[in-house]
Amino acid sequence: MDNTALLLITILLISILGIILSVVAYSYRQLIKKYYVLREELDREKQAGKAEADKIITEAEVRAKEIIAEGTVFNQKLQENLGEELKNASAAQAENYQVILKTAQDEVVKIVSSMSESVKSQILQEFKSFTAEATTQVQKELQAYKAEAGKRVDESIFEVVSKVTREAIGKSLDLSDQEELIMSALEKAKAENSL
Amino acid sequence: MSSPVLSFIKTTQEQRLFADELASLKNALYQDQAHFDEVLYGLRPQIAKALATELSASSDSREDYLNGLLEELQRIQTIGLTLAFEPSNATINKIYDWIASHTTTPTLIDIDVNPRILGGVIIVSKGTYSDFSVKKMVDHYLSEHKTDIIQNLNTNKRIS
Repeated sequence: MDNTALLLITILLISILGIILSVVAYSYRQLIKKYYVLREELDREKQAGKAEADKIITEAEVRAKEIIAEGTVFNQKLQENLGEELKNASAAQAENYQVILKTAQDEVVKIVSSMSESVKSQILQEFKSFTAEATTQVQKELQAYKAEAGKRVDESIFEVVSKVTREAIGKSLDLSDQEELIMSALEKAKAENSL
Repeated sequence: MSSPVLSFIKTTQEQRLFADELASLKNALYQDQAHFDEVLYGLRPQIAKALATELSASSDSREDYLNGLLEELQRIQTIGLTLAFEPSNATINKIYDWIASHTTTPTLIDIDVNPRILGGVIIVSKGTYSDFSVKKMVDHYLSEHKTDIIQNLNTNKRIS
């Protein structure tokens, strides 16, 4: 193959490559265009969706406010009704109570005025007797308590005295006393056949 | 017949110490004579001297003699004494001598100290417990005279 043929083939290949690159560049450009179109569409849809959502939220808020306002009004009405009912009930009850009290008072007056002098005297006697019994019982209990408390105090004092006595005796024994006591004890043990 | 060397042992504390010393002597038997003598004369002088005399007079081998002595030491009966104070050696000797002269068999004293008994002694011997403590006497007196004591206290209280 000569140089001319080689040159022609090279030029041909370069031309083909150039055509291919042009086609690729055109396709890319088209693709980019399509991308921008799609993106714009997406943005528009997003805007539209947001607006829709905002609208829904606003409507919900308005409705909630309305419900709360209605509830408050209802509550106020309910309270007013309840207050009225209570007022009526209290008045009725107070009236009833007054009636009962009056009746009871009348009854007591009747009973007391119908009592004979002897019955009155008997009641008074029984009351005095009851008071005397109660006083005796309390005095007895008080004395028992005093005796018990005194006993406890005596026991405490005795414990202190015992402790002091032991300590005093222990301290008063010198070595010769101690040895004497030991020897004496050994003799006793021997006499008892314990050694 | 008790070994004379045992007459130096008076308390259970000394008994334990002497048992350890005999064990050391037995170990020294398996080494040379010089080492055995070193251990023997390292003991308390009176005991070392008595042991040396007995060892040379004994017809038994040294090992048999030491084993026999150890057995005899462990067999000695003991008397437990609880005192209110820590006794001096002089007091221990006095008590031991009294016991030795009033008992027929060799006896060791096992001393325990408890100041709460105030004085006297608690003796534990032959399985019996005899409380001769001052505390017991004082408590007995206080218990017997409790009513009188309380009465006197109350009388004095009223007077004062």
